[in-house]
Amino acid sequence: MKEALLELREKALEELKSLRSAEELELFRVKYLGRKGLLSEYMAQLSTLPPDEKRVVGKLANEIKVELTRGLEEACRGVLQYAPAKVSPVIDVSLPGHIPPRGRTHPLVQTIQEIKEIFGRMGFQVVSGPEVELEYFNFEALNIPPDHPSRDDFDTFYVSDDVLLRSQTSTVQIRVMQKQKPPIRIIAPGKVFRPDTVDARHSFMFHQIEGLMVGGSTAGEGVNFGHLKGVLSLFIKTYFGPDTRMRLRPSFFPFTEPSAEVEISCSLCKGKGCSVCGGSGWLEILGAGMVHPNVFKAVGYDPEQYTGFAFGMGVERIAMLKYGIDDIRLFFENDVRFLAQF
Amino acid sequence: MKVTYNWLKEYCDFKLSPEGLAEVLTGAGFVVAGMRATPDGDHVLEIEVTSNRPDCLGVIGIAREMAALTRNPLKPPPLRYNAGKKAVEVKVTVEEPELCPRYTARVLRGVKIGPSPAWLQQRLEAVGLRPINNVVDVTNYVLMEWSQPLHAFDLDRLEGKEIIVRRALSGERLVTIDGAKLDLNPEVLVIADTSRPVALAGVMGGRDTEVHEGTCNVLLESARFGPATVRRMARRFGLKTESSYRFERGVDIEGVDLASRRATALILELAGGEAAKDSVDVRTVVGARHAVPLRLSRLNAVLGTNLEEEAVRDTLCRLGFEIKGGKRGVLEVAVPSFRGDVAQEIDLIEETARVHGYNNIPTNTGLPIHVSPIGRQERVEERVRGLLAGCGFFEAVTYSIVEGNETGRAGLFPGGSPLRIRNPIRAGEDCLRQTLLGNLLQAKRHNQDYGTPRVRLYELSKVYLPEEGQKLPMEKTCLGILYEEDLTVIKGQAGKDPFYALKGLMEGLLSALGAKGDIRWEGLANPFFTRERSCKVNLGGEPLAILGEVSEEIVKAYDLRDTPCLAEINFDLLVEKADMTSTFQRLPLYPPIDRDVAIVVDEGVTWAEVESCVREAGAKFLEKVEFFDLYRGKQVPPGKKSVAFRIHFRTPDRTLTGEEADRAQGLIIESLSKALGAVLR
Ligand SMILES: [Zn+2]
Repeated sequence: MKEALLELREKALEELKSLRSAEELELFRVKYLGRKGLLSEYMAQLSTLPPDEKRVVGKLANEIKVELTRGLEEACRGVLQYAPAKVSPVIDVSLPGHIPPRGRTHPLVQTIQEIKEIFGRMGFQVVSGPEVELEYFNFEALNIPPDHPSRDDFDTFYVSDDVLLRSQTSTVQIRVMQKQKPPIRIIAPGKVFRPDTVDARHSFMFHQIEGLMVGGSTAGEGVNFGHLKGVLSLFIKTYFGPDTRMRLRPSFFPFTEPSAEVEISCSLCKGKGCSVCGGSGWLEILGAGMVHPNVFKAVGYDPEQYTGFAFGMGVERIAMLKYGIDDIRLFFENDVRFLAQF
Repeated sequence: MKVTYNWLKEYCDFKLSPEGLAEVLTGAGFVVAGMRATPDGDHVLEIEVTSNRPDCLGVIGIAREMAALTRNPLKPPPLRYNAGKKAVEVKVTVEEPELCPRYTARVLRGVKIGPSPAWLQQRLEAVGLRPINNVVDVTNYVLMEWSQPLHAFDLDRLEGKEIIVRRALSGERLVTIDGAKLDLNPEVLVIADTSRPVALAGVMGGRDTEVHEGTCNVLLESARFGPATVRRMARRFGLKTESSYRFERGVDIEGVDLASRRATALILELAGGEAAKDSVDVRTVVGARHAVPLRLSRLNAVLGTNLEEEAVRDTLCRLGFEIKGGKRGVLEVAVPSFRGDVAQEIDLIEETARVHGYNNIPTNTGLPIHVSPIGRQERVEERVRGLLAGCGFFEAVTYSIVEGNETGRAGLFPGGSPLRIRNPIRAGEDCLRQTLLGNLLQAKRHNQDYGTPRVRLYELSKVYLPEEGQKLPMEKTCLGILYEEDLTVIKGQAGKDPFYALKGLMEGLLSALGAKGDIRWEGLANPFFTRERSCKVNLGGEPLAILGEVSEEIVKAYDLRDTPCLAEINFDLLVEKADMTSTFQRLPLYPPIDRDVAIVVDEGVTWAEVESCVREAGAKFLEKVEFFDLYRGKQVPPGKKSVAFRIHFRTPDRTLTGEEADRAQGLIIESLSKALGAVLR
């Protein structure tokens, strides 16, 4: 058996020298080193030998296996080095590549992110509050009297007599001020709910971003109407473009005074008037004002000591204006043909 | 509210074109939403008046604003008339003074009912009212002018010549001027004579007592009714009138009488007759003018302006306020009765700012520096969104309010009875969701119906879990994921099992967030999923997520053509356990020795068991163990499976020898065979 093995070794080493192609190398491997190769055959017979011989022959077989394996590896290197270059056909570079899958963040969330980022740079911190709220936070603390029309069933979803789905993100103002002393700069994005019948312009659920800035009314810390205009104009020029003009007109919200409706020049018609801006050249984009002293009183701030402003905007409206979307329902259908556009 | 250009100009002679007028009004907070020319050369302006300014629901109110805005005098119409000798001889009783703080009645005898003159008819038509006859038209004209609703009764049809303001009795009925038959009850405030209701207070008069062609004697009502009462009645009976609209917003307690005088003068002029020498005035509210101090320093601090006292004084006076001296820098401002909205200093500051013009207040961008930290939640959200978008997922935003049957199936959080909305807009759609999974399946279904057969969606939103003894529910942020393979990938194909793809995504998420804590994967029984291909995940002993393949029942219920995989993750827990801080670890200097091992074990043996057995075998130098193949079939006996994995051995201070690796490997294999009955393959 030992002789047979040594003979096999001689033959194999001789054969190794003549290998010239990958195919020949593979044939060699199968013949000598494969699972059913010649060496394996000898190994299988080992068990029939007496123990002494078995040890010697087994060791020899292993040594030969290692030697042949190394030899084959060397031969491989040699063969591949000198192998003639393969001629492959010229590829069609116009064929489409394999595009990795790419999802998207929802356009409403993207809008919130962009707005958050701009206000973040002005020092406004993102906060949130509950969507199911106590009536107190949605109305009473915001200086909205008990018999105010917005409190009834046509304008607010109620869970019980004093629990409702918040109809505005202004609730977060109150929750923050109850816990924290000025200076405050926050923005609070989130869902709000109103029992509107769904159509192209209305949705019973939509998103708002509320902003609040409060400072002491003394030396240099006072926050005034001029600051409100300053912060909003910086936001508007950053978000809608540096040429965008802003104007304010008086309005009424129970929780701010003076209150303002903020409009921007229509970017589509450059202020000449078009169907988007209803011919006026201006677009309403947010409501704002100085925090009402009664709101400060409700959260335990001294209105003599602190002043501040608040603003609120509808995310859907801003996204619709920015992207030219004409139906609010598209945001909630989640059709990927729509989502993939942003 | 509609006014005409010429009508306004009668009371304030501003030098503005109709377009200029519209611009000035809009800039002062009275948005002119529309304007059109009338056939008689006038212009009608449609003005949006905010709810705090009921005084501007009439021409006089707007004229007063124009007087302040253009600095022209206000010229109100004359209110004097020549009264006759006879007394009113009418009794008025107000049983509900809370709901009717003032009621006045004037009597005109011997009027001649006929059509109004053309100018009056044209103005009424311009502002959207239909001319009826001279007396009724005057009441409407004065309503539009003074924002004070009036009603004219045929005095001879009022039984007992008496007016009683009272609650209706159950069973009483009233037929209104427009013919509606109303069943009344004590919730309703009516004007009655001695025998029956004759008008719905503040909303509409009754047919029986209306002024008609044959009317000779008129009782002219001018009153104030409570806003809430009128709103309730108008809504209950579906009668939204010019009158109810104004009472709902509140009318001027003093204007009640002024408007009555103005109407009396006009009726006398247009319908003749004789006014009684006196009038009835039942009044429980005294309209004392209150004074509000206005500090100039405060005004300028709030507005960021530098306004002079004289300018502020002038503005307020033109708006009808009276300044009663005060100290230097402080104005004592008496508020006129028609400005019920002005009660505090800030209201006066707003008035000044409004007339001064918001756009004339200097813009100030000089804010002190303030740093806003980015919160943990925000950072985690950002990373998760980025990761999911990179894996081809589209973010969905769906409605939080769902149908009752949607919530019957619990997701990650146990179901139970959901929070319900008392006044849903669609019957049945009244529940606040407790899982995102149903919404994701609906979105999948929508896409399937609109030509996108396979989608990957996720939503990061709240679910609402009612809590025993708490008014507000627990709001939990969840991450819902719907996963499907591309169309080109066939289910069950080796290595592309969607269950493992979703599980892998979950593992990728946990690793991207550096989630700290022991992670365990266990079986799950949840009707959203097939029993065999779903699991729950615990992180540090708390339920973190459920995930798996959607069950047949759900596929049918949502009418799906494919079987997606779903996951719902407790995002709040993920945020809590996330640790996105990075620490540097020195790169190993010496190479590892890798050993591939394939073992055959019983079907029941899990990879988790194999892995922990490998780890606990006590083998030295073990660095990590990686699964790479699971095989059943030829060469593996039935009831068994082959598990292949790679073991890395390494030691940090030198190159490991093959013998050391051999010994360690031997120990591992021995341990596997003892503990799990594993056989080397
Ligand atoms: Zn435009």
